[in-house]
Amino acid sequence: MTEQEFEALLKRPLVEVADQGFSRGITARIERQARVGIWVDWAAVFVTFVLIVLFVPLGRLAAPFEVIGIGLGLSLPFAIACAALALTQAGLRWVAD
Amino acid sequence: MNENALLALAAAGDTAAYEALVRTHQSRLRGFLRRLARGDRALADDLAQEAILEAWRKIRQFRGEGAFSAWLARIGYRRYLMWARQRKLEPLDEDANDCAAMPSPDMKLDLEKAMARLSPPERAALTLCYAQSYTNEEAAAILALPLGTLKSHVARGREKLKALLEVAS
Repeated sequence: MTEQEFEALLKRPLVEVADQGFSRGITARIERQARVGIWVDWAAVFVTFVLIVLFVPLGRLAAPFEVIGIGLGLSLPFAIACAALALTQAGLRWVAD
Repeated sequence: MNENALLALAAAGDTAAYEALVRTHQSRLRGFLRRLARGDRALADDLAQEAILEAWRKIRQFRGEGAFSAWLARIGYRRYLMWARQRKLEPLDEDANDCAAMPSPDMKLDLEKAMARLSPPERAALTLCYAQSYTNEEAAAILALPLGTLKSHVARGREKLKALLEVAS
């Protein structure tokens, strides 16, 4: 074999490989993996939520807010402040009209 | 649509754009891996599929510094090396005389058989530089080798291949 023949043999391009659904198959696999990923994400969110509900002392956490809410509801200064705000708002609207 | 636009769409998560890219480049990648896998089509296609899936996961890391096909080939070659390492495959470095009994009905057939006798880096270097017309720099980047090492793989591979083909004929 001459040097030229050898060179030509080496440079001969590889045989073309027909796609025959290869690309489509890979895309389908990517889409399937993405769907599984979404399910896994939602499952993780759900499990986290369930664990929070089961193990976090929600009653104890909510207690201070309950105390504050009731305290504000029974507070006279707070009621006066709310009334003042409402009256100011109504007055402003009357002036504007 | 040109390749850069397809790459941008694929990076944004468009699987149809990625499929179009894969359709364009699958033949080159699978051909390269088939030669690396010594003609084992099933293995080459498995490796190509894994490489293309890895490329999809990392597509945002592709900066467009080289050709997309070269980037895919690099991932494919790494996959092949991982597979070979798992199987504890030793690079074939046999003496050319071992091939004296090789039949030679056709030169192309001889080339594939002779290629199979080379070590994986030699086989890969010769395929990329000759059959796939990559530049030496591109081939070195694909194989993650210094340019000098690539050139010595090419030179050594050529010598071995020529000896093997002469023995065969």
